This record gives sequence, structure tokens and C-alpha cells, in this order.
Amino acid sequence: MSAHNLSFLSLKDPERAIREAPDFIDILPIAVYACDARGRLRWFNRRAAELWGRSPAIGGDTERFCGSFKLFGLDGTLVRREETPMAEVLRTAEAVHGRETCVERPDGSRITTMVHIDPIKDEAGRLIGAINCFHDTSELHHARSQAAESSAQFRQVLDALPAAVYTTDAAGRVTYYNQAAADLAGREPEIGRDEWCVAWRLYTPDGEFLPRDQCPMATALKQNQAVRGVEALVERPDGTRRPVLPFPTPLRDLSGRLAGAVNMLVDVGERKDAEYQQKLLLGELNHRVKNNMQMLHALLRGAQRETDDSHAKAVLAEAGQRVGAMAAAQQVLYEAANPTHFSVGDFMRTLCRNAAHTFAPRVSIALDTVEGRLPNDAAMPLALVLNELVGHSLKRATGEGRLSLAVSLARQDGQLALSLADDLPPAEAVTSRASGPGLVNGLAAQLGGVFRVERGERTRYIVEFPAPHGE
Amino acid sequence: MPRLLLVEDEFLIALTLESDLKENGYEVVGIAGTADEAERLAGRERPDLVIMDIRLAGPRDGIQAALAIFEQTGIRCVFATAHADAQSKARAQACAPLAWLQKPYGRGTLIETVETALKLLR
Repeated sequence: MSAHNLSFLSLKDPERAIREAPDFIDILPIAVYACDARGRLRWFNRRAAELWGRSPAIGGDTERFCGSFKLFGLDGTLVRREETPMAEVLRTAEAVHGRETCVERPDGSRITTMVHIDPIKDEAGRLIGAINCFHDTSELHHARSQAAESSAQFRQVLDALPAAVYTTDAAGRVTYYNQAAADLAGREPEIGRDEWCVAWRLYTPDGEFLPRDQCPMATALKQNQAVRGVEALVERPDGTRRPVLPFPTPLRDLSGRLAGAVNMLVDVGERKDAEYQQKLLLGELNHRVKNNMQMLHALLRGAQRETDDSHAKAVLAEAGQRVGAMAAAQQVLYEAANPTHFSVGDFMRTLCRNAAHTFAPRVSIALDTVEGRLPNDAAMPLALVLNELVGHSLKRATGEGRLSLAVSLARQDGQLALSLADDLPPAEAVTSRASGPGLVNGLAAQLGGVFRVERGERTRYIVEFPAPHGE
Repeated sequence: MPRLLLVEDEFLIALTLESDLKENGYEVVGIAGTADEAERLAGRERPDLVIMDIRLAGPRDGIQAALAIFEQTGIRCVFATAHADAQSKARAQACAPLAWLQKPYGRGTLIETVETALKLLR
């Protein structure tokens, strides 16, 4: 109310202000004109004529209230002379400040103007006219509508995204969400009321309840930094849950102050399902392979029991031992965490334990091995090499005494060396390629390496091969 | 002579298992291929321990059979399986497993495992 009172100008000579323009009026960069109480144009300055694109007649009854060729509202509807802001001021005797209208010039061009109109009263308080100051706001108007348009376009882009996106203000209140976000949440979030997250309820990947004000988005806002790599479970009102990977990122204004945050929720449910299926398949395959090995072993042992021929028994026993060694190697392959590489240390320990069991009580084995990982390809040749070497030691033994063997897997200069040392003299000649040193020779070649025998204090059988790429 | 019940649905494996155990001085009181059969034989024969495969023919697995046998008779198991995941091991805890025998295993490992398990029972 007080603003209206203040807007009443107390002029020294109000009649003169309406009757004639001050002589400096054309210097002003703002457009000014005056109307008398009936709305007849009394005077206007140069800037007003520029903005109107014309010089209207003074004092006429045909062009009352306004010097424009045509006047429109911002929505594009025609404003009749009796509806102009000037007409309104003269009718109500109340000032109008900061109203925008659209002026059309005789050449058809249009500009947006902002008008500030004050009623003028004489000393007796009678309305005698009004003065209108107006200026060109076309550029401002243009910039504003462009900003509104680009913001609307931006929203359309977000709305069309298949990923769930929402924004909050700096206090964490939801200011926007797209359809994908509503779909993921299984509900329509409440703009301005929901805080931190659009989800109905949140849980950690372990299934523990996660209070909203501790969710990744809340952390991002409170710490004013993006949060990455933290998964969460979104629970919908119907009780179903989806695992999501959120990407909360603070938004800052031009001065760098926190203005809010944007969050994208990526539904990782399908990826999880696929991972689970793959794990299941690998587990099944692994189970089958190991079970089949057990059956193969059983088959050979069965055949060995069946035959009365001592030579056949011995050959079948050796075949059974080889399958046993392969089966032992199989135990450490295809771990869930690493299906393509095996742990060398676990592998060597398993093989030596198996050999000690297989040839019990004739051998004791001391093992010295490197750790690390090797690709699965190397497993079977290594398992068979070791089995043959232990078997070869036993064949060379003359008495029934216990053999103490030293097995080692060592790394040197990019080479790996699997060796077995015993206290027996080496055999004279290699006879078979399918067993003993002959088989070891072939397997060493398969590994891209060589097989050699060293005679020192002990006899050492060594298979040296290029270390395959581990991990 | 220690008395053992074998639960294994693969005939060949069961056969070798039986002969390996007999050769080493154990009595095999029966071979079951399903969980129901295992429960019935355990109830009737009252073995010292059961060597239990986890994957069995029929709708119930070896852990379910082992849990039922333990509840009814207090008899404990050595589990033999190709793939003992953490979840299976957790499920089996309630019947106090004596040992886990990982397939493929050889005769030596089998005998050593059974001996250790029997010591636990004494």
C-alpha cells in the first residue's frame, strides 16, 4: 500500500508537467510521454518516437493513451487503446510499474517494452494526466525466453532418457525426476517433499536398511563431491527390489556455490542376473568335469581289479595313477574367482600330497615352490611330468626302502623349472615315449621347454620351460 | 571293524569307493543312491559314519539327507563333492560334518580322510 502512496509524485507545477515537456527531455536515453486526463497525447520525447517507429499527432482524440502503431500483450493478443496500461492508470489513478507489452511499428517489426506510468494530480488532488516512461527490453526478453526454451529442451532430453535421472536442491529436496526414475522407484516422487532420493526405501547391497539421509546422494550433497562405485538396493512400494549403481554429482552455480545435485540411477539388475547365470554354468561345468574324472579313475581301478595278468595290472595301475594326477590337478582349476588361471602354490601342494598318497608308503616328498598364477593350459602337462618323475624314481629303486624326494618349482630369468631330485643313479636309456622319461620329454616340448638330467650329489631331473604369462 | 554307509549315485564311483574301503579293512553296510534310501539305511544299519555325496538322484540333496540322519540318529557325515561352495558348507554346519572330501580324490586321500574322521568320533 505504501508503495502506491510513494508513487504519487509531488510536482511543483503538475499542470505544466502535463502540458509541456522539460527542455532536456530529448537527452534522456529513456522514452517518455504524457497524456492528459482524457488520454490525449500531450508530448513525447525523441526516444519514444524511435521506439514507436513513428511520430504520433499531439492532442488528437484518435490516438489516445498510446503512441504505438499497434500494441500486443506478451502472449500475442491485441491490446486495444482503452485496455493499455496508460488507460488503466487514468481510469484508476494508480501507478503501473514494470509491466511489459509488445509494440508493433508501422514497418511490422516488434519490440518488447517495459512501462512505468505515474498518475499526475493537481494541488486539489484531481487527476489531470499521467506520465509514462518506457524502455526497450527486447534483448532481455529474448534472452529470458531462450533460457526458458533451452531449459525446456533440456528437460525433454532428460525425460526421453532411458536412465533414471532426478535432481535436488542444495537441501536435498527433489526438484525434478524423469519417467525412468518414477518407473525404477515404482512410484511418483513428490517434488519439493521427497528428500535425497526418489526411492520408496533403500538398502545396502547386503540387505541392510539404508536411511535416506545416508544414501549416496545425501553423501554427495553433504560432502559437496561426486560419489561413485557405491551400490544400493531400491525397494518399490510393492516390495520388489532392484540393485542400482547411483552416480550422484553436485551441481554448482556460476560462483561455485552448491546449488543442488543430479543423480542417475543405473539399474544393474540385468547385469547381475547374467553374472549369476554365468557363475551357475561354470559351477555346473566344473562339477561335471571333476565328477567325470572321478569316474574315469574308478573305471581304470575297476579294470585293474578285474585282470589276473600281472603285466596288465601294472599297466592299468600306471594309467590309473596318471588319471589320478590329472584329477588332483583338476581340483585346483576353475576357481570361481579366477576360472582361467590357477594358483601355482596350491597346485604343487595338491599334486605332491596326491603323489605321496598314491605311492604311499614308498615315498616322502619335500616341496619347494614359487607362488603366483599360471594359465590353465600348463596344469595337465605339469601334473603328468611330476607323476612320471615320481614313478621313474620308484622304478629305479632296488630295495623296498622309503625314497625321499625333493620337488621344486623355481623361477629364474623368465624360465620356470620343475625338478625332482633323488639319490638313485639315472637309468641307462629311454625306452618308451608313452611313459617315464620319454613321456616327460614329450610333455616338456609341449610346454615349449627342455628336459635334462643332472648328476651331482643327487640325481636331478629338470623340465625347464618359458614362464607363460601369469597374472 | 568300522562300519560305513556310502551315499553316491554314480555306480562306478560307488563301486571303487566300496572296494577301496573294503581293502583297507572297513565294512561297507550299504550303498544308497538317493536321500530317502540313505535315511532308511542309516536308520536300519546304524553305521559309524556316512560318506555322503551332495548331488544325488531324486529331489533332495545330500545335505538334506545328512541333516535328517543327524537329527534322527546323531550319525555324522564325511561329505564328498566336486564343488563345495560356501553356501553348501554353511547349510551343512547343523549336522557337524566330519570332513570335506573334494572330488576328484584318490584312494590315499580317501583312506586318510576316513581315518581322521573316525579318530574324531572316538
